[in-house]
Amino acid sequence: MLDSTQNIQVFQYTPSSILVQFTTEINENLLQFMLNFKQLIQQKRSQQLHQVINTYNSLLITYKSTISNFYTEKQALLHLATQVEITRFKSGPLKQIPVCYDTELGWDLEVVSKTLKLSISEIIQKHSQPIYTVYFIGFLPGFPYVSGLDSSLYHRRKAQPRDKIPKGSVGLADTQTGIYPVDSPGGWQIIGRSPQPLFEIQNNIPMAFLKAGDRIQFQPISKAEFSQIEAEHASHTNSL
Amino acid sequence: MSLRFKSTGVFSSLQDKGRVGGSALGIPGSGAMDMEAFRLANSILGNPADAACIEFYRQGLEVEFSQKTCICLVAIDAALSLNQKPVHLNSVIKIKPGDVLKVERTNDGNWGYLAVKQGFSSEEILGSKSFYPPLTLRRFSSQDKVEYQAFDGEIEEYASNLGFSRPFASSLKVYKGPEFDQLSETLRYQLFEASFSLSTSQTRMAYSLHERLDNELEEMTTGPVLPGTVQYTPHGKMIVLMRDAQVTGGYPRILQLTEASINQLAQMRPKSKINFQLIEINSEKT
Repeated sequence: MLDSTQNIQVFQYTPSSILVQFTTEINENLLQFMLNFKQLIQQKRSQQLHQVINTYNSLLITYKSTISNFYTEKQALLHLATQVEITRFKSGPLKQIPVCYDTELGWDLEVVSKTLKLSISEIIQKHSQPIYTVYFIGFLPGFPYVSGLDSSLYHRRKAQPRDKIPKGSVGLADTQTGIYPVDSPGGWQIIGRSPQPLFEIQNNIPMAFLKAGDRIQFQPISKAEFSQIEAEHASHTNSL
Repeated sequence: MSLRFKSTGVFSSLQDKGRVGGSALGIPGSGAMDMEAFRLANSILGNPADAACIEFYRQGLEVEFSQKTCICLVAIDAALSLNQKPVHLNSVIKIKPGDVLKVERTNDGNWGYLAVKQGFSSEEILGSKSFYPPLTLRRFSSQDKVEYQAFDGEIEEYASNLGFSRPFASSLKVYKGPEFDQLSETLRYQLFEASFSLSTSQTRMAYSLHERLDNELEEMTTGPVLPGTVQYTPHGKMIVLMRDAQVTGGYPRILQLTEASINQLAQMRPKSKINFQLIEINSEKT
């Protein structure tokens, strides 16, 4: 499906950036193709690039200077796309993310339970069973966009976003689930909280716990375990 | 050897050209809201182009210096005082220990830049000192201090009173955004023939427009966005992303402001009238 260039749109976004969009179905094969393509672009253009990022179905290539001839670069990128190795999805490591699904931390658990007509233990079971794939990091530093949410957990966002959702909160929004890496305003339905830091700065270097291609699974923990893990992280790192 | 904030005014932070390489971690580029004003402040002092400046929003900034140096303050139209005596914008101001600089009034524009000889010191993350939480502080608070090196030399005032005036223009130059082609003929007509006004919502992340256009576009899969991207919400609201914009977004990206138009918009106040002028990427002239 991706060996032809028909499913690829190359768009000049600004004088120094190009957006490559794929019109095929969003799945792990496309993710793998984009990650391979990204790597190839980074190899072939290492001196000219600021950065390349991927989302579900796009790559954004940011160049250090103005692109002198977009059509030449577009042809070059389409040609590079034909050279991308088509590999099966090579997932990154499976990372366990502890989550305390207590109503005291999962502010919207009861609301979600009512609207979805699922008991809280069914919600926990359906949320913690699947293995999710991380597609990219966006929205906030360290915030993972993942796929794999059980469709019985699809739930609308809150009509009125909250001013502050605490770091570590695990939420539902439409077809997505996610974890807030830092305190933030937000409209997601909060069903639990994780003590696992997702974004840290060590020696002035920012680091995200997750990256595109990683797989995660949520591991239910008690409130006592939550406090214990949180305290361990607080004493070992300067997590934010 | 530092500057102390007696008052930070509405909002002030440290800014430079911004950072690259953080997008894959969800970290925006940040940097000065008006890059042109920022560059002018440094160039008047003969500073490295990327020296960090204090960026402030409108009036009220009041700072005290502890060491000799030279400074320069660039803003669209503001009244300044040094030890309660008027001093000029856009020129070299000599500073001795204990001097107090105040931005008394801003008559026009939003963001001003206070540059010091050799720039302010602060820790760098991904090659930038620009404030962006959780990498750094969000903003300065009263009594905060920021370090600089003492400077006892002379600076030739070649640029004195050069002025920083942009020709007044309500027209913002834009390119087509990735979802532009999905707009109906009617919407395109409205987009370029109507004029819009800025709402009161002005942050380093985004400015929004007051008027709404009935939206016929479907939501899109979350994708990359950039400073200058005009997002079109399901309620027909238009949001122009600015320097601290998140790296991805889920609203259709209908237009993209030129770099010069981002700087221009940054300085426009709520209720200012704007209109969009569509240009081709390769025809941009600054």
